[in-house]
Amino acid sequence: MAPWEQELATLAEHRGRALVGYAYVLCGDQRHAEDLVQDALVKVFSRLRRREGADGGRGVHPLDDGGTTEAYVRRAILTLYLDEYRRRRRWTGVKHLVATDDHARGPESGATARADVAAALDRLAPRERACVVLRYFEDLTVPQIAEALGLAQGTVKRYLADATATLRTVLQVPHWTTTDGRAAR
Amino acid sequence: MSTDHARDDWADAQLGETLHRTLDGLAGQAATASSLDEALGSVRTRVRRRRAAKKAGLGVTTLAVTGGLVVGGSALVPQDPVHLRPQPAGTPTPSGTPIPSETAGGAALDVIEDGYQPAWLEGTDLGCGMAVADLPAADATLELAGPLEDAPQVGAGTGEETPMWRIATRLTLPDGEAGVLMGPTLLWAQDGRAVDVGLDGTEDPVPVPDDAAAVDRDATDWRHTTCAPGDPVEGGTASYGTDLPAGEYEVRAYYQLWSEDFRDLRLVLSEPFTVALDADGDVAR
Repeated sequence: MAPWEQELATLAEHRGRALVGYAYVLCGDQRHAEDLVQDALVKVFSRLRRREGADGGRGVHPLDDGGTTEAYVRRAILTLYLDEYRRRRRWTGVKHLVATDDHARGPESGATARADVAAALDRLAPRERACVVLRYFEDLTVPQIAEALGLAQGTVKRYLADATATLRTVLQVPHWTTTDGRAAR
Repeated sequence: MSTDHARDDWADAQLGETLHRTLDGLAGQAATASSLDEALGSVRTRVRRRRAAKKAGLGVTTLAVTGGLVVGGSALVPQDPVHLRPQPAGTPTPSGTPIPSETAGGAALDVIEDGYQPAWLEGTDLGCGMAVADLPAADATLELAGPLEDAPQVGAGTGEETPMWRIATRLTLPDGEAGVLMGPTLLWAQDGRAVDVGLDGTEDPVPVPDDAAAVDRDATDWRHTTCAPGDPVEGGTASYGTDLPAGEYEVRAYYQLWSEDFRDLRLVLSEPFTVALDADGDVAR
């Protein structure tokens, strides 16, 4: 088994499910998430990078710098997700949600809240959604999100503000206004 | 993950925590329902195709520089002949720790793992222990062009010599044939069953030349059978340290041939020839 195959098998075994979870919160569809992960794995592991083995023999490896393979795959998932939506132009600009009684539950009602958030996330523009996932799932800072998406930090903040306003409506979380003017990270 | 969302001026801590918890829940549900394991074989095949395609692309460049792979294929002169030829430098890899060779004689079927298929043959019907009667018929386009010879290779950097064999082959190309070749290497059979499937050629694919009538390449192999996998060595690479035992074998040269669009993979086999190995693993002359 070639080194890349071993690495692929190990990554899929130990982190495959987590990668599918990440893809799912981005795209909102189980099958689509699986496809995104598979496509990302193919993309990353198809890269040819030469690495000299201990015996000086030629080898190939998908990665040749200090980053972890999983980080590359996550980045590829994000890129594929955004590229796909860019191509398909599926986003129609629908941003607002009307909170019905069904949505009017507190965040403690776990399953329902998740369903509501899933529905609300579906209404977000892809970049808004990506910002939310990177901030609240991946725990990236605003500068890190900006770098990952190739956006200005101000744009990221605007996306997050718009997205969380929509999500707040669904989650029925009261808006506690910050008064000390702290800037986002 | 940290949960430091309180400093986001577009959202308060409660919303941040709620989003964090809810997204974790969504991801957990999707992770639980994941069927990625079942798709791993497909992913591996797609990666292999793309890597082969990319390497073939690199090969095209090499051929353009060296003047083309043509009849009398010595035109394919690599910068480092040791590494451009299919050989055990990628997979399989000779173990750094010597594995005791088993050459004491006896049926080859006793030393191989019946049903084993090295990863590089995935997508083909070729596997260890299979009946040679089930192999694709010998393809008249692949001819043997010389005797089986010893061709030891010296490892770059280590100076260690690996006993190898080679036999010249000529692949005649039908008009319009396009695709990517991997190999050739040798398939060894005994008592009608495959006992050694040769070397991994997938790391050095060669595009079928556009303007050549034939491809001349040496089919190469080493003494260890790739039907008897040992424990993975460092880095997870499969290791093979078992020699074929003394005896008489039916040997075929073969290529793996990808179609131009990398959708179809087929084997191209030569007619078989007989080789007798002695107890030292040498070809009995």
